[in-house]
Amino acid sequence: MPYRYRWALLLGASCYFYMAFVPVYILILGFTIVIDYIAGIYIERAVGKQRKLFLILSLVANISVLVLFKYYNFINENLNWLIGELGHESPAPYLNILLPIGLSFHTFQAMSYTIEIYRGKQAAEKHFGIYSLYVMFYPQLVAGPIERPQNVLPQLHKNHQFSYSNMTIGLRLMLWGFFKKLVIADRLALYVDAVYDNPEIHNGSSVVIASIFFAFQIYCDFSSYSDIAIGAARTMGFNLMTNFRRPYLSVSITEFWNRWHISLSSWFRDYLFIPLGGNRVKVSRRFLNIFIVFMVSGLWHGASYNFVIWGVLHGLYQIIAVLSRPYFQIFETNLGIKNSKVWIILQGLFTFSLVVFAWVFFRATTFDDALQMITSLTSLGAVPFFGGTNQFAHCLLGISLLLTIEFVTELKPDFKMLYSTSRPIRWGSALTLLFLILFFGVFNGGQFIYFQF
Amino acid sequence: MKSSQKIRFIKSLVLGLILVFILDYIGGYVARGFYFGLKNGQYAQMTYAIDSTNHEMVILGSSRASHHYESKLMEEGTQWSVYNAGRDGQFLPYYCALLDAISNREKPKKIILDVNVWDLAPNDGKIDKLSMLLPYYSTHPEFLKYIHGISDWESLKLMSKSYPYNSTLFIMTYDYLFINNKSDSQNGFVPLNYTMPEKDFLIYKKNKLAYDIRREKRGVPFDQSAIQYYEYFLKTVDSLKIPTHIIISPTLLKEPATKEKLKLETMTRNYNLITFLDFSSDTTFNDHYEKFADEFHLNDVGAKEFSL
Repeated sequence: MPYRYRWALLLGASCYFYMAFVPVYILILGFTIVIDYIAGIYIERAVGKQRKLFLILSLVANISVLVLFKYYNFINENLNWLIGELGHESPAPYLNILLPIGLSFHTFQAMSYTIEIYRGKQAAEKHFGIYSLYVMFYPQLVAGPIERPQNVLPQLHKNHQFSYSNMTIGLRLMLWGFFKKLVIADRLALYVDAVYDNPEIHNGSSVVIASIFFAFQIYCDFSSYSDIAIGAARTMGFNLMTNFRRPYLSVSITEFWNRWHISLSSWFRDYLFIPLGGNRVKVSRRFLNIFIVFMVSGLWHGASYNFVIWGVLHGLYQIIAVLSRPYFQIFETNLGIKNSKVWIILQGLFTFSLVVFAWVFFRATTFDDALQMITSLTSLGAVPFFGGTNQFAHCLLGISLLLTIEFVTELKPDFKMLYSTSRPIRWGSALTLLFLILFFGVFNGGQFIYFQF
Repeated sequence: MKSSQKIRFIKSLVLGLILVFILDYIGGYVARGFYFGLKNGQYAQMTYAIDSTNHEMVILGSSRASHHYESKLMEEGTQWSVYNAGRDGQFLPYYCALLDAISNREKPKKIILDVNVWDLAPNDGKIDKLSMLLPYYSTHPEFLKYIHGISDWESLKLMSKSYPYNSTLFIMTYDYLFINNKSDSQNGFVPLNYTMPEKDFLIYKKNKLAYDIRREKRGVPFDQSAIQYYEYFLKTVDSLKIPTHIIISPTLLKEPATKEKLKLETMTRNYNLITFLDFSSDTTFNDHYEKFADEFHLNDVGAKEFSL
């Protein structure tokens, strides 16, 4: 296709992709696209306070859509409860609407555009079609990575030539994504759902196993989508940002957040934490900033107290990590264990345990369910539910393969399998993954968890 | 430069597709050989139940059927040949499929269907479990209606030779290594030779009470498709004039009178040849954890007592 029309083809494909869910919701997306497109041009042209005004108008429009579709019922329920406690009846109706797919993702991507123009780091995009494509680029439209205009917009203008290297790298990344989704995430989901859907009936051992499995499920589910999105974009010559870097090999919570959902955590860092003052403020204010960022991050995931608690827990982890760091350093120095492998492994396991504990709130359907799960930890010694030894064995196989590959990639970055320069290794790795997908994959059409956000 | 890269990519793509096709074909061929070459173990028992059972009494159901009905003891009691075709983790759609296969071949004199108290409640995995029938899709056209119910894409997926054997490798390997040389002396019955620890029982008892209360509160709706499958099963055995017992075998704790349980019973009332027996309140088993292997299954001691 001629270069000048490619944007139209991609935009058409993106519209079709988005409309496969609820077609009419394209209007919501269209509304914010028009607002932000115009706001971007006006912010660039304006001077002084007017710039801020246009930015605020754009942000209000975006956040209003988010609040209406994602948080209205949550706010309403809480207000109803409060008004009810005061002896009155709330007149606000409950909205029976489906959450537009990937709303939080594309709203945040759109907001980063106007904020960057306001900061003078990005020129306003004059081509409406290209700007629309920036928001709607189908590989990352519904579950990220949440991109920045500086990375994507220039690429949308570029005349991409066919590249063998881009094509094969992209396809291999997609293959790795499909492996993580079909062989690991969807398999683990069978066990996790069985336990989390009936929390009362399962003992502590099952809860611990299900929570660990969920940690791997959500990682494989989400990172697989990122890999597929990045891979699909790469086949067309686009480079999207890395979203995950082996997060469960982190030895501290801070490191975990530098490796987990990088596009979102960096969004919060750049557009919320730093504007709040970041680290260059009093310690108490810094802790408040961390707390706010993580609480909002929890709320970003969904309108429920469970997500808020998940975010708050991570905020507390970060604060405690900062507070305890000097004591840890003294401890490490006195015992001479700073570079000890055992100590590093213990730190990694401790970090992983903290993350898994927080996932309980993320995964549990209700707050009561989460409490039930945590209460059941008192019965840790009981024989766990296996959900069929075959299923369980598949779960363990998937996790073992993942961890082996992640450890090898982490410790020996030069040891490449799918990207090896040796053709037999490259092809052998790809065929092994295909074999594993064919024989161990779950083909029940399980959705990606993060589509709901 | 650009066109040479395209040609190179097309060559690689074609080579890749050919390799995938070969991998799928050879993998499927080998897996099929292994699967149908098994002489003992759960897949061999399933193949036998589908292709060869000609016993006078056949027991159908899930893992509870498989572990609760000691076929040989029942043979002694009834003087009939008995085969236990219970399968781990299965639900009503599978029982119906098996009934179709068995009745297409030779009518048993009696059928026992072991149902679970939760069989009519929604369960997302119920239909997925029918993938157990995939290895038989080419030899048993009566299964196709069940297989197509798994998803809209099953016909397409079945173009793959290895897909029918997806997720079977672990069990096949285990059965080949540890079970294949032994003979199925139990006629399909799989005894559980261990006992539930008292501690686990007490935890379960506490949790189950909370579970029942919550279930009651939630008001879980019926799974309409499960009701249809159950109705289909009852109608089929009735039209074939096969005397049938629908049984809820003993449970560790007394099961509350849920609407699902009531429905299981009331739906059998229209059929003269079908009797409904509920052992979920049988005090010789309720709370007797020493007769159970885990929360859901009798151990060999319990199964023997129940089958006598």
